[in-house]
Amino acid sequence: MNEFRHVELCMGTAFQYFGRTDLADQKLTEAIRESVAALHNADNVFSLYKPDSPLSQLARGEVSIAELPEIVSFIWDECERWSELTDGWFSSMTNENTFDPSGLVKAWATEVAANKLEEFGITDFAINAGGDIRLSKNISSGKPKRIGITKPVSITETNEAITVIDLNDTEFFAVATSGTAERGNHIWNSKEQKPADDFLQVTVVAKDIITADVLATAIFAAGNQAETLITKFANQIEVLIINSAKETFSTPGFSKLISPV
Amino acid sequence: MRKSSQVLMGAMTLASVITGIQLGAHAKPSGFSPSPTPTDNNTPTETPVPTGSGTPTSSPSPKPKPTAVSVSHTSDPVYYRYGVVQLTVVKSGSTITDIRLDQATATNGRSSAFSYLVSLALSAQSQSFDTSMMSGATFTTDAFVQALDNALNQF
Repeated sequence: MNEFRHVELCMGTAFQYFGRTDLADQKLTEAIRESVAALHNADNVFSLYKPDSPLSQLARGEVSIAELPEIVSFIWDECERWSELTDGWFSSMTNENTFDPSGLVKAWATEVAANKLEEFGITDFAINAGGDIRLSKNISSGKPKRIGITKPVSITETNEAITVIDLNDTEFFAVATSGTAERGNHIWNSKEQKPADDFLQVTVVAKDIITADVLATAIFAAGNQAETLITKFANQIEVLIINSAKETFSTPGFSKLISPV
Repeated sequence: MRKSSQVLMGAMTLASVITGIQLGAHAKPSGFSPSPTPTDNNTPTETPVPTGSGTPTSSPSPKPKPTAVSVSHTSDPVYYRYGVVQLTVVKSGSTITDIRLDQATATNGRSSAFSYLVSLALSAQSQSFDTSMMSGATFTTDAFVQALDNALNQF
């Protein structure tokens, strides 16, 4: 069993790979190469920082969505679907009313990148996509299923974990955290047209990384109005919230995930 | 559905769906505790012997030589949203013996996070350390990982 680690810089963040496999070195290298290529392909299509990307062209009104690669329509539809599922709290439209699906694209690209590793028969790994984590289904028990959740910056000046959860023997394979931790206010309350500021940080544990990531953002945006949303997804997620008064709340099941170490 | 309807029975306030919990007791499991940061900043490095006509250097001190030669490499400066990170990694054989922060700045008081990241990296002996499993960290950690990756790739 070879342990492998890889750091890939993409979408302005670090994607950290960590895993174990019986695969020969050459095959492993190929698997990682294809996996990170999926990340970069997604970035090349959807980056709004790259002026020539299809999405930048769309934002400038130079092309219609029908003229762009099919994947753009797929992501557009996914954003619409999640917007409806979250009663509009997840929104891929910016406050200038342009299409910015980056919130969903990072999670989706991570899922595609993880699927690539699985196609090569790697079944024991984790990918940390800038703080959002996707575990493989068959990840071996022990350390890799323990996930630390950082404190928001306004609570601590260190990168301490506020708590550690263990997803071993659970139905959950993804953790996403949205917050102002290091980014300043970056989640927009599109319903009230203001920065979302009721919460400092929202962590969502879910079966898959897209659900975790989208709902962490949506719950953060909804703030004190998040109850309906949390209730709607109560059977699919566990949630940890730190509000602006630095009080910590969670769904009843979340505390069962906390690692007793 | 049962779980959902139980939640719905509560009063429609945030606190009814989600309960306040105390996390403090579990906040520092061993896997995520920083190991003590090495205090010895004088880890020997592979200093090139001066050549040419410079002033004669003092003869090597008689102190015992370390068992393995230490080699250090310095990363490129990594500029990120809140500052810059540049670090030097000292390795003895395959072991990272020290990580020195040559530049480590961050606004909002984040700079103190770097010493914590250093201790994590030293205890884990790799750029992946336990941030592999940290949900929520972003820019400062990313910049640190990038600098560490850059320095390690020079070995």
